[in-house]
Amino acid sequence: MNSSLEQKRLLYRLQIEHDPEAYATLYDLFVKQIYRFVYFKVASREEAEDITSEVFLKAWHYLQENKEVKSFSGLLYKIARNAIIDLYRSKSARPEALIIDAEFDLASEPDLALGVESKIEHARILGALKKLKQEYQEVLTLRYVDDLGINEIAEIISKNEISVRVTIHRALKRLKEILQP
Amino acid sequence: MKSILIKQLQGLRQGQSEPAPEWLKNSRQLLLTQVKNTIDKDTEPANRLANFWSWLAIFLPQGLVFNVVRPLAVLVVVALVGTSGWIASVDAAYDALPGDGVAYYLKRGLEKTQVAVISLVGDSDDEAKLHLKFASSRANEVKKMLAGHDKKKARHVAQTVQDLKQEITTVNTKIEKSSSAETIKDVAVDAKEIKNLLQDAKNLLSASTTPDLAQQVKDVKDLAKDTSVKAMETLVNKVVSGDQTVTTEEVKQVLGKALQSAATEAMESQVAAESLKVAVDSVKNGIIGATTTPDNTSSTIQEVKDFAKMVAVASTQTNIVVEQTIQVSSDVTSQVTEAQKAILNGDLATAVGTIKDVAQITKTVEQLTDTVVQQAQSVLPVASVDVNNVIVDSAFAVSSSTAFPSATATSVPQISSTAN
Repeated sequence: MNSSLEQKRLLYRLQIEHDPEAYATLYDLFVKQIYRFVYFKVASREEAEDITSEVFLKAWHYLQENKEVKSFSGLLYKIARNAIIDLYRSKSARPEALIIDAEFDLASEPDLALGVESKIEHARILGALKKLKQEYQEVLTLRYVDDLGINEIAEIISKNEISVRVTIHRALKRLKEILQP
Repeated sequence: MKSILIKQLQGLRQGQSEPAPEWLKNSRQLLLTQVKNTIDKDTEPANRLANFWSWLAIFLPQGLVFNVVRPLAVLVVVALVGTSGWIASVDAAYDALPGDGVAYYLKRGLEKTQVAVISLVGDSDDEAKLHLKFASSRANEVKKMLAGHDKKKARHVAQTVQDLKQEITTVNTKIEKSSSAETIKDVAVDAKEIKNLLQDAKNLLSASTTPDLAQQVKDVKDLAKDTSVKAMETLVNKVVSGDQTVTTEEVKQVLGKALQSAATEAMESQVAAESLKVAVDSVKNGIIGATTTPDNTSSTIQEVKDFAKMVAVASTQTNIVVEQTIQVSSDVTSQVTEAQKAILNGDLATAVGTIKDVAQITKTVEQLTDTVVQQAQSVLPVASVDVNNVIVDSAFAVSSSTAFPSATATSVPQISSTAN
């Protein structure tokens, strides 16, 4: 996880000094996390890429309005979350379709360094993850894939920390049930 | 099992969930272009203080910064200025004159604050003392402005004189309600000092070029003088009726000084009038020489003759005033001597009565002297006359071959009289 202080420093350069390079640095710091967060919830790479680009653009407009930003990463996740919900609403996407896409992606995976077994394992976990309800997917992705703290997750999903811990516990339990029928 | 599951989830960071490098690069470039296009390059950078609050708002909650930290900081600054900084500010403002901008406004603002506070917590004595202090301050300002020859500041003289008049009027009102002989004694002494300051200011003014202002200063000077006399009268009445807040000796001292001052003024008036006579006589003698010089043309002689008539009139009037002044001065001197004897005998009422009479007489003499000085100016065109020191410019002794300069008010040099 990137240092919170570094985020603040970059925000200062961006909002006060109007330095566009600061935003480029913020993009470099968070683009992979946001892409991953989106990717787990959408049907294809293309959609993940489109939504990720949209997230950064919306975040930029938000900053331009000089609104308060407690955490830049929190802002990105919130925008991403809303963008995904909007996508679901507009396409009325079904979870089944997402699983199929994930399996297709397995065949087109460009990272040849990973062994076939690892790819199969990834696909299995990803498939199980996408079978979880939206809330469980989110907390597991944010906690274990993106390595966010409980407090950060609580802010992103607008719940208190205890509730987040309980949700993570239940999500893990449910994932385990899916993987071991 | 749980830890294995977590490791499996963490493993998703690699592999197919990674974005394509090509897309990353293109997306970054596109985003940066859009960002650069939307940044307003003409936006003026905010000032350092605004930047500071914005900077703090990034690190702390915005609400906390703008609703708590900033107001607290302002309060702290105000408190610091109010406790330590104000001393330096007031010191700096103390010597400020009208036209000095913020410093003078600060000075007057502080005075108004003092008046407001004293009207709430003080009595008539406190208010009288405060207004007396401000009156002294205004009188000093008038004198300094006139002595400074700063045209920018001189524009404020009339207003300052008006403010001074207002302060003295307020003092008069307050001492009517005052119960303390001590306060009245202070008014008697300080009002006399104010009168002396205004006398100096009047001497710096030219009655010919600024007649209205000169008259205004004279009026306020007379008001200060009347205030001082009135205070002395009240003081004596209080002491006579048994007020113990001041001793009889103190009152005697105040009256004694007032009498001494009156005697000095009478003497100065006499000297001033005599000096003026010397100056006018010098012109008169010079004209006699000029009219008898054979080299002059007929037209020049006519001009000289016309001018000689004016000098003759001025000379006659000066002689009358000098005689009156000498007579009055002599009367004043004898009256002062009688009053001093009355003080020694403890007859304070008689002494203060004499002071009142002498004050009226000296005012009349001053008015006479002022009129004569004004008339003398029209016949003393190149002379610099200090009626106290009898300075007559040697060039003024008219040579037979020199044409007379035009004797108009605009061409004459300024002549001041220190006569009272």
